Amino acid sequence: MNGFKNILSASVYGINGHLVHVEVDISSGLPHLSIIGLPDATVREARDRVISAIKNSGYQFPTKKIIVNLAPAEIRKEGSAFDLPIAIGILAASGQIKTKSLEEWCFIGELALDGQLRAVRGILPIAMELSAQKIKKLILPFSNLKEAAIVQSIDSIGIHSLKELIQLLEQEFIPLSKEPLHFSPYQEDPLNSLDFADVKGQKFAKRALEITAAGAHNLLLIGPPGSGKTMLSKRIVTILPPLSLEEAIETTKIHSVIGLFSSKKGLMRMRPFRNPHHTISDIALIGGGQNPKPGEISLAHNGVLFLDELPEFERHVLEVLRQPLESREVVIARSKDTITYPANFMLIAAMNPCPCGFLGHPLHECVCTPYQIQKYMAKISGPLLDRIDLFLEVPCLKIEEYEEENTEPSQTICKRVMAAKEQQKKRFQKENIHSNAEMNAKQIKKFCKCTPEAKSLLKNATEKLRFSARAYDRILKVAKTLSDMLNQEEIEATHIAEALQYRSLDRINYLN
Amino acid sequence: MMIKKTTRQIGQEKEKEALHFFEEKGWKLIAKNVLYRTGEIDLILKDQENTIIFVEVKYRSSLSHGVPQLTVLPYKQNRLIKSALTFIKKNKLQGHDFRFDVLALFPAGIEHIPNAFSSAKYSI
Repeated sequence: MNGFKNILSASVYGINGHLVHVEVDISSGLPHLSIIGLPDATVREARDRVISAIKNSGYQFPTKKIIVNLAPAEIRKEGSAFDLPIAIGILAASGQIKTKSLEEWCFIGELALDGQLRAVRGILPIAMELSAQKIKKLILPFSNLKEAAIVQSIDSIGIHSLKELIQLLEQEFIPLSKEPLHFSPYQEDPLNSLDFADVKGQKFAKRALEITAAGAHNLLLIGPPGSGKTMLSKRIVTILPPLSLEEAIETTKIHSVIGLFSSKKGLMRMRPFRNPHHTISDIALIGGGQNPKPGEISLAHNGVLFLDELPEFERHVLEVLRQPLESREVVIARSKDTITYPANFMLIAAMNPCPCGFLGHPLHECVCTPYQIQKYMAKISGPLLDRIDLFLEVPCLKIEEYEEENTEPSQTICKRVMAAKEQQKKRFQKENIHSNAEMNAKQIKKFCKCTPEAKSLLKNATEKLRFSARAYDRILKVAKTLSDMLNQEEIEATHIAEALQYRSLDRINYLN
Repeated sequence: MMIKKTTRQIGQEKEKEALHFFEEKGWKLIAKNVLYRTGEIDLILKDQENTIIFVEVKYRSSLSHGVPQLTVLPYKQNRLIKSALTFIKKNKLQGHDFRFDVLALFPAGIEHIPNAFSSAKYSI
């Protein structure tokens, strides 16, 4: 039977969902199924999956000329989520489903050859877009149901197979009078076995990490192997305040696009901690590719990007970090698309002071030549170092410290961090930023009020140590965080003094 | 002494067998051995639903070289489609449904493959 049907579906562009109309036209002619509307390879392969799925669900695949158009035609379509709407469109246009209310529903899902439905990526941004467009009903694979249920304003129905769906459609959704499933966001606290209490000694380092967490600053740890740089860094998520609902949705959306959404955890509660290996490519780090995908820095949005063994990263990989570290987003421009991904992350990096790792060690002798050390340090460029607020030397542990007990647990530190964050939240209510590290020049001038002693100390230090203008601003930001931690309005000389301590790489130049 | 049959004779015999197979299904013959510059169509039939079916008949006396239906490769398919388009135009059949079937004959029996192939390259 000849016919036409328009089925609503959706896909992801960048990190946002957008609606796609799947138009199916069946007419007489040489039998063929063609899919048009800028489909990529996965969408074109839908053809064979749909043919098999329809046949194996006990329906006829029409021997007709079938044209499937994905509108709007100018946006590239990717992913396997169009399998289900194409199959439903073909069955409806050929008169095998007689339901009239199909237009009210949005269909998403990948079909297996036997007609079962498989989970697809990017459900959360799609559900949010549907909610914004006032489309209330969504049919999707059962395994994606929890993700869609985060958006409470739409009724999502999870199904297992094409056959099950057609049976439901034929009954005009009578059995679906049951409540659509709704889950509360924030399922349960994610299990985390890490705790700062595990780290013995390193009081100075712990203090620096607390400051870093309180102001969302960038931190570089330098120390010999085995001093606990990695151990300390991995525990920073345990002292960061949990994501707010708005932040959680932003971050979970990015993870959903990549296919990292876990229905066990639901909406992310803990801040992401991304720990890419140093062989990572620049595209994998900042995002991009022919079909642009968010990179590690976007996956670390509202969380922590940890780069262990910093000098081992390819130089050009580190250099691409410069711009997103300042603008807190990354613009991926390709000949076909320009996409902006959010990338508001804290950078924590760890490195050894020299190739052998023992430069400045009290017991071990460093075997590196000055040239080797110079080469090693030169891998990290000045502009990148300039964007780091705190430099922290992590010395090796003393034997007495191994035995240390009563180390402070993460929970206690987290409480102090949250108190400092509360100050910032109040202060930045009207500023559209969340933390001290995000302040721009104007905001620094407005909020970083110094006492006269603090001012003169900073002035002297800047002259003596030849800080750049950016380093000057960063010292002020760290000092502001220190004053927040003590619940003080003005920045005092002691705050400036402590902030200056963390500029050791400006002070001790390893090169000389 | 029995005279060995020519290939042509075998072909005609098998096409007769094929026609018989389809007539038993209730399909009606429209034309057979339609020859154009682009190639020959063995059988053209019409089924109960008025779908016009172009049939390629393939015979193999032994399966030692594989099953006969595998020999209808894209080159042959395109030739058949081109010939079918000529037939449709000459007989003003536009508006009907069309289909290409393959009927494979081997010593052990018959296999009918409905809608064996289609092509996006050509359309009417």
